[in-house]
Formats: sequence, C-alpha cells, structure tokens
Amino acid sequence: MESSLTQSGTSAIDSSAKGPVLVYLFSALKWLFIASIFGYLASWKTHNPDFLNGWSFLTVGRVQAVYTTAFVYGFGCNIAFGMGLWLISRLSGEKLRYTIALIIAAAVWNIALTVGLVGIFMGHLNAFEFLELPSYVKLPLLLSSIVVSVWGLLTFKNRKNADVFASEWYLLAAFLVFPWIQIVAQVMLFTKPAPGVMQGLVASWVASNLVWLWFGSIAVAGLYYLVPKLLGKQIVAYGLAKIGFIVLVFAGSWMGAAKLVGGPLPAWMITSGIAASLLMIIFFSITGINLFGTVWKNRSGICDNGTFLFVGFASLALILSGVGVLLASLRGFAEVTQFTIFLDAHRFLILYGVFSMTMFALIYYAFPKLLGREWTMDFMISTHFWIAFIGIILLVGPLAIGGWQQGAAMNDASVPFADIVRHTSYWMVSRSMAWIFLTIGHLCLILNVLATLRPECEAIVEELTRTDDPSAGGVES
Amino acid sequence: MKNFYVLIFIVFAGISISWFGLLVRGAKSLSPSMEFATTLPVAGEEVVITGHEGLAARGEQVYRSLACAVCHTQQVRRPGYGGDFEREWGFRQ
Repeated sequence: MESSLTQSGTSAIDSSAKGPVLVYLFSALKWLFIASIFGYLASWKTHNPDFLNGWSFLTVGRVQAVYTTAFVYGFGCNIAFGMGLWLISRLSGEKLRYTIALIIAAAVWNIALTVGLVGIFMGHLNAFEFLELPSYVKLPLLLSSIVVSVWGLLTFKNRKNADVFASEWYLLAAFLVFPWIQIVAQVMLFTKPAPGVMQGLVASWVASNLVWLWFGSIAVAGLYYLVPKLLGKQIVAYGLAKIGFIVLVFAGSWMGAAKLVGGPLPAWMITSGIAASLLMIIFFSITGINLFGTVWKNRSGICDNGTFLFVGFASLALILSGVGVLLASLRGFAEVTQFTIFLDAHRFLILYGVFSMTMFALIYYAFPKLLGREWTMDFMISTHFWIAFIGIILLVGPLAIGGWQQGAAMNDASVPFADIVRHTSYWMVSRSMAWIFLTIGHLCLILNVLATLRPECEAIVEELTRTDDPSAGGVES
Repeated sequence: MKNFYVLIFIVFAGISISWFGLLVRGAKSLSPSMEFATTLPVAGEEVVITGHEGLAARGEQVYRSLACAVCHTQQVRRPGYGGDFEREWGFRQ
C-alpha cells in the first residue's frame, strides 16, 4: 500500500482532506508556538513572581490561563480536529466532502480563540479550569466544533469500508462528546448556574471529560491507528479492545467527581467517582496491553524511526497516567496529593505525554502523505523526540516528587505555609528548564514543516517581492 | 460494533448517564441544603445571602479577572482530612 501511495503522490482521499487538515495543522503549530512561550513564562513566574509583574495582563494567573487556553483550545483542539478528520476519512475510505465548510469552521475557531485570548489578557475570564475563555466567544467555538463533529460523523456514516476499526469507535466518541461537554459547561456554569458547590462538580466533570473523552479518545484512536500501521503487525489482543472502549465511555465519564474528595459534597458523588476511576483499570490494562504490548513485542529497531519512538512513548505514558488516575482516586493518596503540583505533573503526562506525543507522531506520519513528498529534515524527527523526552522527564518527575512533599508538608499544620511555598518553588525551576527543552522540540517540528514546504514558501516570497518591485508595474500594459 | 447507530447509542448512553446521574441528580439533591449554606450570622441575625454584594462582589470580580483560581482553590477539606482546619483556612467544609 505504501508503495502505491508514493507512486501516485497522494491518494484521492488524502487530497480531499488536504485543505482542511493542513489549515488545522498550521493553526495548531502556530498556537503551539504561542503556548510554548506562555508556558515557559508561566512556569518562570512561579519561582520568580516579580518578573514582568508591572502589567496586570502579565500577572501569573492570566499568563497561566493564556498558556492553558492556547495549549488546550489552540494546539490541542486544532490538531485533534485536523487529525481526527484525516483519520476518520482514511479509515472510512470516504472522501471529506464540502471541505469549504470545514475551512470556514477552522477560521471561526481560530478568530474566536484569538479574540478570547485578548479577552483573557483584559481580564474577561472565568474562574474554572479549562473554561477560562470569556463567555462571548463560547458560541462561535461551539458552532465551529459542531461542524467538525457533524462532518466526522457523516463521513463515517457514508463509509466505503465495511470493516470498522477500533480507532473509529474512539473518533466517533470524541466527535460526539466534545460539543456535548461544551454545552453542559455553558448551561450549567454560566447560562443557568448550578447551585454553589455543584459548580465545582460541574467544572471537574467537564475538565475530566475534556481530558479523557475528548483528548484521550483522539489520542487512543491515533495510537490504535499508528501502532499496527508502523509495525505492520496485528494488535496483540484486539478482541478485547471493544471492552476497553465501553469502559472508557461508561466509567471514564464519571471520573471527574473523584477529584473533589474531602469537599462539601454528598459522599455518594465522591464514591461513585472513585469507583469509576477504579473501573478504569480495565480500560488501562486492555489499551496498555494492546498498544504498548504490541510495541514492546516488536521493539527491535525502534530507535531508528522517530515516529515510532513517539508512538512507543505515548503508549507507555498512557499506562503511567492510568496508574496516576488509580492512585489519585484513592482517598489516602489523594489526601496528600490533592491541591499539589503532583496533579499538575499528572495532567501534563496525559495532555502532553499521551495526547501531544501521539499527535506529533500523527503529524510526522500524515504530513508527507498529504503533501505527497517526504520530510526534508528526516533526522529532525528523532531529535524532536529526544528533546521532548528530556523535557517531559524534567517536568513530570520533579513535579510528582515535589508534589508529594508539598502535600505531606501541607497536611502537617506545624510546618509554616511560607516554608512550603519556598520549598515547592525549587521544583518549579526544573519545570522552567523542561519548558526550554519542550520549546526547542516544538521549533524542530515547525522548522521541519517549513523546510518541507520550502517550494511553496519560496513561491509566496517570490509573489510578494514581485508586487513590491516597481518595475513589475510596467508589465501590465 | 459496526453499526453507526449502535455506536452512537453506546456513546450517547455513556455520557448521558454520567451527566444525568452526577450533575442533574446532584443539582436537584443539593438545592434544599444550599439554602442552609447561604445563611450567615450578621449582627446576631441569620441573613440569607442571595449573591455577593459590596466588597464581596468586588472581591469576586478581582478573583475572577486576575485568574486567581489558577492556584487558589476555594475548597476547604473536612476536619481530619488534610490539614485545612488546623491551618484555619476555613471554618466550614
């Protein structure tokens, strides 16, 4: 199949998807760059709070909110839309139709997001994690994501391939869940706010579903696609994949409540969240065996292929973040880790270690197929991987250890709080160093994309310089 | 799981059960107790708090607009679970 693709350049399906997928991809890379800068700045400010503190728009809270929003809604959602659509059309054997609607949806999404980020700088934000965007951009974002979801679902419905692969279940779940959680967040937090403490529950339900049923589903779909594709081998226990998916949909959506353990909520809510988190053992075992197990079984030569390294790392990170979910849901463990940087480490492991690493692998896999030409700087793929690897280790390891120490000290009321803050800030230095590595990794990717697009870039530059040239004006007559 | 509608149904059922079971039912079960939670003793009288006013409203505005929520939670954990009560971070759960 590979050879037939390289001979004909791009397949008919890929050329139908090329426009919207590339628009989403370029938007995602732009936001990734912006998120890198603000991620670094937000991290730096946690151990140097006076740095750039003279302007209210650069205070630590807003910078952190801008970073989260640019990463989650800018990079995360754009790349999830693009790669989700590409995967669903490839797996369905069906072209993407009326792609102009998708390009308009992408434009709406990115313009609304830009307006929203300016709004955050100006202080029009909301005090819920992942929902900081100002209320006035929520509707365009929702409509844009509904267009993507409808296109994804219809492409699947009109599919040419009779066989349905595990990736497609997860993609379908993601497309269906994303608009739903946006509507729940808008209605139950802003339009008709739920009473008092319930808002905390709604916010953590939304955050948990955003992470697991939207980003998590897209990531697992990508891994289920890439692992057998890159290895040319079957998934080791594919028959069980179905059970894993059903557990994610039914138990994964309940996990949010476990985060509020010890809070002013009825015990049954917390307990149901903990029970759901424990049930997720099934999902993590099956998906872990299927993805990481398959990679491990065929690990020879893994280091020669950069894309493969990303896939292997992401499937291992999925197992590790599963262990994190289980531990953090236990009451005794959560008593220490709740409200600490341990949870930051865990969140990062899911959103970056699993989701973003899978998306990088998909970009490295899909971009040459969409363009019909190979990467110009092939060696940069492995370079990007190893730099990102160091970054993730530098971030997750120290924050997890530091978070445990922080939580243990906070629970001991005899330790002065200021001492805990000072001690915790040392761990944050490691996070700032990690962000330097991550940013260099992102620049490797962006540089590689630009180098591969060099003919197009040169054509654009030539076009621009020609119109600027005064002698070109005379050619008209 | 090959049928489009079966798949849609499974996902729809999963997400709506958790939404209804946790959020809708939760909001209903909490509404009565909320009235209790929003009374505060002011000058010896129990006053029903309907929303924030005056300084409290301005504080809420500042808390929200500077994204204080990024680091500062409003949740106080119950006595015996964590050290929040001993540290006097709050006087009710």
